Amino acid sequence: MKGVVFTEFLGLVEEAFSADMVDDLIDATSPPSGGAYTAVGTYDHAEIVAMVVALSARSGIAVPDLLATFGRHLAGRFHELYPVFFERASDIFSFLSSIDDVIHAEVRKLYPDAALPQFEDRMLDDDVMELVYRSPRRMDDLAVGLIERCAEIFGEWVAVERSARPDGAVAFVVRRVAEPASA
Amino acid sequence: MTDPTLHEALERIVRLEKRLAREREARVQAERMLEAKSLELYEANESLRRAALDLEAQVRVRTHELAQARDRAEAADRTKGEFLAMMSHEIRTPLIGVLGMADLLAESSLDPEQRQQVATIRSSGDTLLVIINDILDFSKVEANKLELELGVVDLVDEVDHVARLYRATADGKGVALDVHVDEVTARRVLGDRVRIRQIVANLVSNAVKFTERGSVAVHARTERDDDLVTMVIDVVDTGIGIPPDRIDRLFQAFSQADASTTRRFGGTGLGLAISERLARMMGGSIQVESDHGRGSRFRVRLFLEAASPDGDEPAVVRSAIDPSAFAALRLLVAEDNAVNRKVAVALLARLGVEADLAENGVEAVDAVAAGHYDVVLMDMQMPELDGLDATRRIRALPLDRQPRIVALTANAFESDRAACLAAGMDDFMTKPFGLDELCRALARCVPVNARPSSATIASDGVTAACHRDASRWASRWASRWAARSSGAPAAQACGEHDVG
Repeated sequence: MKGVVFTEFLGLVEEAFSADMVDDLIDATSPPSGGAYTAVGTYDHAEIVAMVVALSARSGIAVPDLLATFGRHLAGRFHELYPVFFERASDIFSFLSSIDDVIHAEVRKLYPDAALPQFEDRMLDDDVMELVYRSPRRMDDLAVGLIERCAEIFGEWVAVERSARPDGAVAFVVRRVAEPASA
Repeated sequence: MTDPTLHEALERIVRLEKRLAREREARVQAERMLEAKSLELYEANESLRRAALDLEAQVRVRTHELAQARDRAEAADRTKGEFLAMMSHEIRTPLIGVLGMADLLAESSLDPEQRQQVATIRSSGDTLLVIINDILDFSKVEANKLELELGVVDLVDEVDHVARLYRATADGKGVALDVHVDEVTARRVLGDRVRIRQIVANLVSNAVKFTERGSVAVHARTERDDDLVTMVIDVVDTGIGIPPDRIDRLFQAFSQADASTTRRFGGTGLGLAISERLARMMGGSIQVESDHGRGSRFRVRLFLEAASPDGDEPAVVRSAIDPSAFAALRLLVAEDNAVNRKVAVALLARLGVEADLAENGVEAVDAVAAGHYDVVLMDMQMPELDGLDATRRIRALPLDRQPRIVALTANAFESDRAACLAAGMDDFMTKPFGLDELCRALARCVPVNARPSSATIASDGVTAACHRDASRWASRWASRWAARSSGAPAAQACGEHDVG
């Protein structure tokens, strides 16, 4: 998994909890990498899973909620770090459909060996998109947070429903809504 | 009041936090710089890759342009040659009329001065005719339009005949003309009498022409290996010799060793060029060694067949096939029948071709995949995999150069032929086939200058590729013969007698 996910996760933990919590998570999970993450590195996906589980235990917040929150945070950070991808799209749907073709193509220029999740999009009608997500890591909750926050960046709101498909992929049905879903 | 120690500790923590923030900021900046540099590197690589592709495309375009230019130049050269041949022929006809009239005039009653004038017309005309004949011959050889007549040639008779022609000239100059024919192993050979005589006459005439004192020695012999006969004729003189830097140009058309020799000795400079090409058409060569100022040695080697002892068989016209071109063909015989394989190998050996063997279609496909064959003789009916399927598999192989595949079949139905061509074969031979059929089939696999003018050949990749390898063939042919000939190797034998 790309290092930026780790550095952003620990950044969020420090902001929302404390720097001590970051130290606690690293001490508790003893990641093989040592926990000295940089955005340009690549690390074992299991390390972030262990830290999310440890954070859930310490904070009492359920893992899916933590992941969704992290997803929202990550979307905001991506917008700050790589605004160009957002500027190229006119709305949430055109942004989502550019993930595979445009954004991941750019990522591969920098990291040719990156193992990136795959997204297949299909408009069901003007306001509904089906986004099929394939990743061996199954960070579904993270993806939902990401999608919702990205929509907000475009000044839109979406409701995301998900369903598992027999081939192991997850289908998100992203529906444009008039108001934010109940907090 | 704060405890000074606590105060110091707090200050220290603040400093450490600042330091930590600085380090973190440095890390973030380093990450951004790294990404930016990585992207630059990626883009630089991309533009390099595009440049390399452009370059390849340019090379392809240039190569194509060069090939076109070469084709145009060759076409122009052919046109020029054809024009020259035609003009020579057109000039020859009226010249023969002039010479005939000069002869008639000489028969009439003339005063001494007129007789001298007619004699000059006649001798000038003869000289002109020789030049025109040279040009005609040379044009024909260059255009692959010269055909060799195959008949019985008596080596001793030919050498004697040539010696008789030039003895008077040699005697007139006080130059000894010594002729020696070895107790030959094959006195009677199958060859083109006129052209063999032309070569020998050219060498002897040159030797006499360029020798002012001393001798011209002609030494002829043959080496026999079964039906194959190597004829070796050495012409050694004590004449002016050839400067070392001119020897390479000797066999080029219109080039005498020195332009001043043309003025002193006359001639077109075509004689040696024609002789050398004639020798090559007979699968042979002309070699020269010279000691400038002391003399020269020319050695012609011709590869011929022995004539049957009872001799008087009718002369057969064989196309101007140069068997030396066959010698370097990488050839595979795919045939399941052992007797048929032996026959094919024996026939090929007579053409100077060594073939590899495959006993079924599977072996044939494997052999073609592993070796670079020019020609595959492919039996239609074989166990494991028949000729048609083997051909299809060979055609599907990712080879640099596909071999020419010649079908061998027991029946000559048109439907068989169509099946062969549909499977990707190029040619077709009906069993049993003889030397002539084989010769014709192989001639269709070899380059332009070694191919009979009558044969129709599609301009395909095989002939083009073979063409490039012409020099390699020549050397292979030569080494094969050196290996076959009994006794001392040719080069050494040549060095044993010093010129002069």
